[in-house]
Amino acid sequence: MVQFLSRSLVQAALVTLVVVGVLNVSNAQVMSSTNYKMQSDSVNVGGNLSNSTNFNLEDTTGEIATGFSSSTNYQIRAGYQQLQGGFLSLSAAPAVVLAPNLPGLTGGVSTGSTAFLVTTDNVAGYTVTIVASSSPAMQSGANSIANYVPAGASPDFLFTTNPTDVHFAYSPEGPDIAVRFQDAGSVCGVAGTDTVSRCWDGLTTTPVEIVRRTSANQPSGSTTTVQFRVGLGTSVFVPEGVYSATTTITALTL
Amino acid sequence: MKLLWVSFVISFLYLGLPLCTVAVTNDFTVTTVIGGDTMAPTTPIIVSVVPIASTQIDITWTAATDDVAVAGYRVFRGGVQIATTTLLSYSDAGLMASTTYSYFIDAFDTTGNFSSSSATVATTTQAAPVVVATSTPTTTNAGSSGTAVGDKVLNFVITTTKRSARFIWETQGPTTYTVVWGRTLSYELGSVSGIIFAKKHITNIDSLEPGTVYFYQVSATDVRGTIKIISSDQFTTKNNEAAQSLPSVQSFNATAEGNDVRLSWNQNFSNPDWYVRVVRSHLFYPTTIQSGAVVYEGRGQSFIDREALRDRSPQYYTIFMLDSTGAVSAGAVAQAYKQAAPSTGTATTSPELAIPSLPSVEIGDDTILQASSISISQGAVNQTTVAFDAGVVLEIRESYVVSIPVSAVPKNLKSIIITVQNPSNQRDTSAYLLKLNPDGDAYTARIEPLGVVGQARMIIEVFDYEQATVRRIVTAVSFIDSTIRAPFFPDRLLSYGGLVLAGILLVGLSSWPWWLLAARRCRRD
Repeated sequence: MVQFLSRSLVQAALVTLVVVGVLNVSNAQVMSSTNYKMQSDSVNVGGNLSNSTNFNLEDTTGEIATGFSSSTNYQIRAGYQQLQGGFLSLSAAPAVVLAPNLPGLTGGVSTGSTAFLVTTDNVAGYTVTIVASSSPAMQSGANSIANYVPAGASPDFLFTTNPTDVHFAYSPEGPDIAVRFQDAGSVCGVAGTDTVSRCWDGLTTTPVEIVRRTSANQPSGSTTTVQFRVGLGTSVFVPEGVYSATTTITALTL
Repeated sequence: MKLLWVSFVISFLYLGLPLCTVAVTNDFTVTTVIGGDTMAPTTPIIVSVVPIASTQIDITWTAATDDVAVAGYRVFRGGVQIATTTLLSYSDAGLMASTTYSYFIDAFDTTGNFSSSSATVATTTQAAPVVVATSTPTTTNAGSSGTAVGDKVLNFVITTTKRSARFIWETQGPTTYTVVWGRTLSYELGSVSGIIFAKKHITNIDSLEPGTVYFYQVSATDVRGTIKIISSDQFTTKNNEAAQSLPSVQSFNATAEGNDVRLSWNQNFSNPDWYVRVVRSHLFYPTTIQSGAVVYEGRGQSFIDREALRDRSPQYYTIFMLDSTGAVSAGAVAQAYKQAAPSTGTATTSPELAIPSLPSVEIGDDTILQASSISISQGAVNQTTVAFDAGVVLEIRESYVVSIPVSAVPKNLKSIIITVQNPSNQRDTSAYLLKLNPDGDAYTARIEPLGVVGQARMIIEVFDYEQATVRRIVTAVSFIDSTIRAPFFPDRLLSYGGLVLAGILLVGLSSWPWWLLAARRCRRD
């Protein structure tokens, strides 16, 4: 009995290893570097080994219908092992320090921006959402700066600070900006153009889609810039301090 | 065998994972700093303090720097702040000749941090100028233009209307100027001076009579103090039989709203030719329609002067009523200044004070102005005049003229302002500049009453050349409506009774034949 169990277990393990091992040649992300993740490799007979700073690639003579393509940063060969959809990369968005410091005497507007690169091979594309970790987003100890509240359901075309306003807003810009942040000249929320520094919204704890792309964009990817502003009115008092908002960007394949 | 199936299931589940949706997240912070600017600007350095004339010193300095932003500079003369500016120079005019003045400046940022003061630099104004020989009189006529006599004067033009004359000319070098005028060669009616050295000059004389010949003389003073008469001739105002005296603007107020100033007034533009002009100066109330920046001209009832208080110094406003003939009303004045809480600023005393029964002197003494020297007259036909210290009673439906003899006040004084409260609302005040009358013997202001019955305060304030109030006299004035009909009893009762008695008497007298017939019947019986 023990002998039978041992034999069965060995057989099962072997089958699993064989199945996984054979089919795993098409599995994803078997190699990675700071900038790239190789989704596939294969065990073949023959072929060449290619090297670069960021990866090693060995192609194979065992694959027919192959093709070789290259750029400054990579060399790749396509064959019967097509890359799998679902690869998605998101570069780190640098922290933002708004400038200038807002004077307590006269108020003003402080601005800043950050940018991130999204790359995918997913032919269905991807979305990017933005969300704040707290409400209001911008806080300094017990003090806070209110989230920007647009006049209507859509973002405000212009960032407006009245004498009694103190608020924090953002506006995304890029090639695949969501319709909510597109404008038709003076109104946001309608499909049109993405005018620079227009369509301002408040950053809340509810994720808001800021990018929607319906095709792959590898290898160059798409850069999105998010502008941030704090407006301090001339007739309002805000306690001095360093106010921060922790913001999360999420890229999601469609 | 079962284990084989399990292994297949595990394998395919594992291989299926890459086909699921992929999500990647990234966190970052957005930071801003509120306040925190505790760093004062760097100290500006005075570059030059130059006495360019006997009455003017020009000061220039280097720009200060700040970690946020420099908002402006304060200029001090003799330790007293005389101006704020965003520029890097200042012309201090109206000084005494051969007098030493010391200056220092500092800078301030948008948070209100002040730099340390610059080093103090002193200089002495030039000696008083000496009048040299006059030039040949010009041949300029009323309303004409041409080149005035004098090789340093260009494009001298006089344009007249029915009530005013405008002088425009240029000098090759910077000069100040004085224009005197009158109905005789004594130029007895008045003078106007420009105290800032400039090459382009423009000035306006108003309160002239239509169709009247006036003699004038224009003299210029160069930076060396040399005075030269550049034009001397006559002009004639245009004829206008219908020339009228324009009413002054009522309830002119200036309210600070942040850096803006809200200006409001109450004026009924009953004549389509009438309009108002608001003139602003940071020095003092503009006394003519051109002695400051024109911030509004039109027929509205309010205006917001944007960003007027950026330099945090008071702004002085005067509003004039004008018409297409060039007639100009007495100027109504108001001031505004930036402070913590927006407030209305007019050149008045606190309106909450009780209305005095007699004139009360609040500032100054009789050597500057006596209350008995102030007179108020009313009525175009049957004019009545009362003294300021004798219980002023005014009719609400007629304009009145406040007058102070020129001889009653020292000649070095700069302005006289009268402020009148609204009897129904003591916070509502109207202030007016008194100006020299056409005869040159009195400062006057024609004021339109508000048409409100009641008692109110009337304040006369006298300012010196440093804009300090050197005299303030307050009195009570009663506004009455003499057209109100008397009550029924006893006046009207008596009048009705008289009519009844007259009727009885008339009936009695007219029926004497019946009385005679009745008497005869009695005798027969």
